[in-house]
Amino acid sequence: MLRLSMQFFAHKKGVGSTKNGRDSESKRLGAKRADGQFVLAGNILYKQRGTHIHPGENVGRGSDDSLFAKIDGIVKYERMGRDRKKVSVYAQQ
Amino acid sequence: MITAEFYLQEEKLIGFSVRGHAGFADFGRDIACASVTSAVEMAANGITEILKIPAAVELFENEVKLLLSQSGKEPGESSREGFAFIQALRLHLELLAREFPENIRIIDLEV
Repeated sequence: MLRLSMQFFAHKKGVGSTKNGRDSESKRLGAKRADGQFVLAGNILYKQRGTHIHPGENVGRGSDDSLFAKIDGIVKYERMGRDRKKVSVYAQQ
Repeated sequence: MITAEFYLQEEKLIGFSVRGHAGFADFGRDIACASVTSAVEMAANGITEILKIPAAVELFENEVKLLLSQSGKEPGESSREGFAFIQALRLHLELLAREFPENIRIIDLEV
């Protein structure tokens, strides 16, 4: 006796394809030096897109918005205004 | 596309092979597929279970094959009924192929 599912000649369930499944290479953004850490001039402190963290004392902003130390010293993450942050580098005493 | 092949021997239909995907709609809603499946199931069971005609029925992934057992001598009464049943299936699938030309096609093969 032949017994068939009535969808025997159909594309099997779940065979459909998805249009997703793509993602860009991760850019490893975020803090590269911690608060209170000693850094050298030129060290990258924070990698970001836009100014999630603003440049403070002795800190510069690169063309890709990364923040870097201008002098050797200690990293300090500080508040800026009501809801913004900045990062500074202070020379070691 | 579902392909229905009918095997002809001296102008008698001695078997068929129906295979493929209808591709008319998603699984569970493919009425072209269901109509062909239903017809094939009835033809196969009609021949082997009701008319008790000896036939080889094979089932593969998305393919059903049936071949009447040929005894070589002049076809007896039951064989003629088998031919007629396969002819009925062919006619049925031909009508379905007109309704679903993108999804069902029929091929006659001389064997």
